[in-house]
Amino acid sequence: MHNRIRELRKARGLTQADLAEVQGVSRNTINSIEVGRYVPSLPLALKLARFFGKPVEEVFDDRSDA
Amino acid sequence: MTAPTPERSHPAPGRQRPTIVPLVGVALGVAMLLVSWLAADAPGIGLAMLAIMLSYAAVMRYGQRFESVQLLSHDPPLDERHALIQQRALAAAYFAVLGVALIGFFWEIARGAPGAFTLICFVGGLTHMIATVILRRRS
Repeated sequence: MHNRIRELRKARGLTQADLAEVQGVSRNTINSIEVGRYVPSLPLALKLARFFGKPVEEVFDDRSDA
Repeated sequence: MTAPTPERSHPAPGRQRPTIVPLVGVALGVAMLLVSWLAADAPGIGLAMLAIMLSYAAVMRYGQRFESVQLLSHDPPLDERHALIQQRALAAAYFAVLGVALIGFFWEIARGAPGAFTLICFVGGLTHMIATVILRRRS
């Protein structure tokens, strides 16, 4: 699943550790989400989208041609 | 327009210090020493096992910079991804033990003498079935 977490995080000037601390997950989890190795649960995906002020569909995209 | 930054919810999970898993490791090491010393009169083996368990507990307690150690040492898991990894690792361990137990079971059957492996297969299989039924009703 593609996502814009890294792009949105960097736009805010946050490190992975900063974002992890705010979201209550480990830095490795944020890294795994950003590289597409781990797909977050719905609550975490919604929490991330809400944090960036975007609809969840703008942050995560499951279409293969995205 | 950017969304306001919310307040930090709580400290990052990776910074938490584990206590339960290292303590259980130490307790198991002491139990191994006592059993081998008192029951088998083999304190040397007991001391070796205690040393192994103390080393394990120390790694679990002080090796938190490595994510694998975090995964092994935190109960409950630090976050949802860690919980998923722990579940998958548990399933892998289950299948490894199951494989050995099945080999042992058929060996015992071939010898006509059901024993420990037969019991392990019975308990494991029954637990798997009961857990499936219970978890299905809960989900």
